[in-house]
Amino acid sequence: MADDAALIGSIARGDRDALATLYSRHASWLQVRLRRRCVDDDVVAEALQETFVAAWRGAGRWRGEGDVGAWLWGIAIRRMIDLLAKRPRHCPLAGVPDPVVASAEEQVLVRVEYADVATALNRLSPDLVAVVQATVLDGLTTREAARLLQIPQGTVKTRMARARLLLREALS
Amino acid sequence: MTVWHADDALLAAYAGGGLDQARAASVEQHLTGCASCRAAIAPHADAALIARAWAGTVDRLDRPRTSPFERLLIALGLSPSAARLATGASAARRAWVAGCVLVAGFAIAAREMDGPMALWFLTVAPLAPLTGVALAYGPGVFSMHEVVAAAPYPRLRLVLLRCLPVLPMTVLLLVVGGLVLPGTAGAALWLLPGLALAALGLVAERLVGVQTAIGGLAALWMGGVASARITTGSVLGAFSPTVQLLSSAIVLGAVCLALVGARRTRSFW
Ligand SMILES: [Zn+2]
Repeated sequence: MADDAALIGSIARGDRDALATLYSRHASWLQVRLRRRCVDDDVVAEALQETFVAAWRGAGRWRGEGDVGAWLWGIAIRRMIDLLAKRPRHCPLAGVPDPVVASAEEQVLVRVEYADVATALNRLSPDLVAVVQATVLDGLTTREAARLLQIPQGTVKTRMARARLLLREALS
Repeated sequence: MTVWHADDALLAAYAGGGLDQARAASVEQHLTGCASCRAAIAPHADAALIARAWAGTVDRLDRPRTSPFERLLIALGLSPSAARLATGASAARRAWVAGCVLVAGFAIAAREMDGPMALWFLTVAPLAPLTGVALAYGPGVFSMHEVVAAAPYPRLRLVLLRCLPVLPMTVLLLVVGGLVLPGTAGAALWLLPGLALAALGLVAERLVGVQTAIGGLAALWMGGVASARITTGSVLGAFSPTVQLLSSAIVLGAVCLALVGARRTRSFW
């Protein structure tokens, strides 16, 4: 079976079946991940659709660096930000859920040396966590994070500084 | 490669929004690089939404790409389907655009020669809006006929939409005319007769059919220019103040008729 990078090569040559295969492999996790950042299913569906339209048209420009999954996510989150900016109504972010009881996976998943970071992260207020998630975990710029969260860029910066300070205090 | 993989319960909790931030972030980082966990999360995704988005993707890819002019119309507030109707390119329309560019190029070339050469531009340019309007009609004229026949648009709106591409070409000819003829008044000489001919074309088409209407009006115009040449000794006679006044009356009348028609069929607009 062709790996993702080979699929991108076929897509660049106009192979529609290769795009269908790529979609079947990546649409599910992208949908779940987008849905965690926006509760409006119409926005999620449109972002997903535009991601693969962009992948179809941009496959020729993919340089083969890094993971295809990361590349697709980079497109998807930015498409969603663009869509949210066009909406007159505010699209609320999915709320921060109640922490569930820590399970056995946690010890593997959040490896021991990061356990303190995880605890500290979970103690941050939802506002601060959203900024950390957008800038650090999703790799967005300050401007993109501001558009996603629909807050001014200055607020992103001050919240990030505050989050950094709290995390540093928690870890010292 | 990671030897650890997220189990089904963890993926279900993540997809259901039931994980705290730190663990959700960990799952996301893992998913970005792990094909087997990406496959394992599929049962927890929204299958209906994913099928809908795929149908949308295929639909977008099958649709021809939007031209810059189409995007401009959408940006100006036209609905995407209306913009498509307005710009749907056919071989005839492309030939017309090429013809307008040729007229403009001819005018620039004529600028370097004697004045009478530039007057030929004045003679030909008024026919450009008329022939552009002709492309708003008929199966023989443009290939989108089937689409248009099935579209839920009232005829007047449809024709006006199809006439929209005439505007940029009119502007092009106006600009080039400004280069060719001294003074803006000279450049705009052909504009009113041109628009009047186009308006007459819209009316005459209903009475005698599109081909006869366009051909007849073009022949009438060329005849008028020729007789002006003979009687007054100059092509400019066809652009006399009387002709300009008559042309503005025709254009104004057509605009009023269109507005009244629009008010009557407001529910369609
Ligand atoms: Zn895995």
